[in-house]
Amino acid sequence: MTTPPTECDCERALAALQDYLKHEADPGSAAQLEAHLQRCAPCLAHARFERNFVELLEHCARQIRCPDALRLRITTVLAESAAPPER
Amino acid sequence: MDVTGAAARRDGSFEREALPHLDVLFRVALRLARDPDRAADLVQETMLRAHRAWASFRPGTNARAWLVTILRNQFISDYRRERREAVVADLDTVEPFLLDRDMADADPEGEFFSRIVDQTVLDAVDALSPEFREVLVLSDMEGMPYAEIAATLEIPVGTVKSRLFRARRQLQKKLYHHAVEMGYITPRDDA
Repeated sequence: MTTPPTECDCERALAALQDYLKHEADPGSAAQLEAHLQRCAPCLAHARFERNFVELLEHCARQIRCPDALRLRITTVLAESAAPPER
Repeated sequence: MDVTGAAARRDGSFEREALPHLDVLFRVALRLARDPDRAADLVQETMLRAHRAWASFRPGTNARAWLVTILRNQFISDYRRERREAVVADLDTVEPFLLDRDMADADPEGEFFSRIVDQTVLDAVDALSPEFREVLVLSDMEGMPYAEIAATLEIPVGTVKSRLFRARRQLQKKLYHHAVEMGYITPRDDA
């Protein structure tokens, strides 16, 4: 028989959630959290909320690349500074 | 043994190891400086400094973290006056584990996030205080692990985590209010 999650379980789960979603939780607490999420709908919703949020940020970041002009400027400057000094 | 800067420069290792991180450096610079021209100058200066210091880079260690550290130090020394004015008090107190109640009630899984346009997100990130912004950018936008962020910013891992928590809550709240204003979601009326 499983006992329903208590408020204390939820508190612990939410405290562990950030590390878990970043794949930085230790295996023990990850397993504990997964078990909790399976039987606690509000915490599962919370986990999805955080995941949707981070996916939005990752998406925004991926749209931005170093401009070609800057890339060229940098490689040019590097090539010049690597050239042997002229006498 | 002759490990001069010139010798280190000519083997092409700098170009091979550092140039692939230009996108990351530019993105981080853009969020720190909040201006494309300043960001471009910052990245260029970072690459020049890194190139000069390449002999001090330990092969096999993390070039991304090394470069981001140089970039951030450069940024701080360029804009030290601005940073000194930043409010640093009360940054690292209790972690707010819970979501804002109204927000969680209106959209428990955060579906509204998918409707928010990039520029709104970036503007909201840029409005965070520098201490929160840099942690959020390195962690959630660039996917750097806690330990790498801690080393880059020279703060304990625990501080990285708590700043990330608080930065996320601030940003989420701001984006939620924006979504309500735009009519993407309707707050649940309990009254």
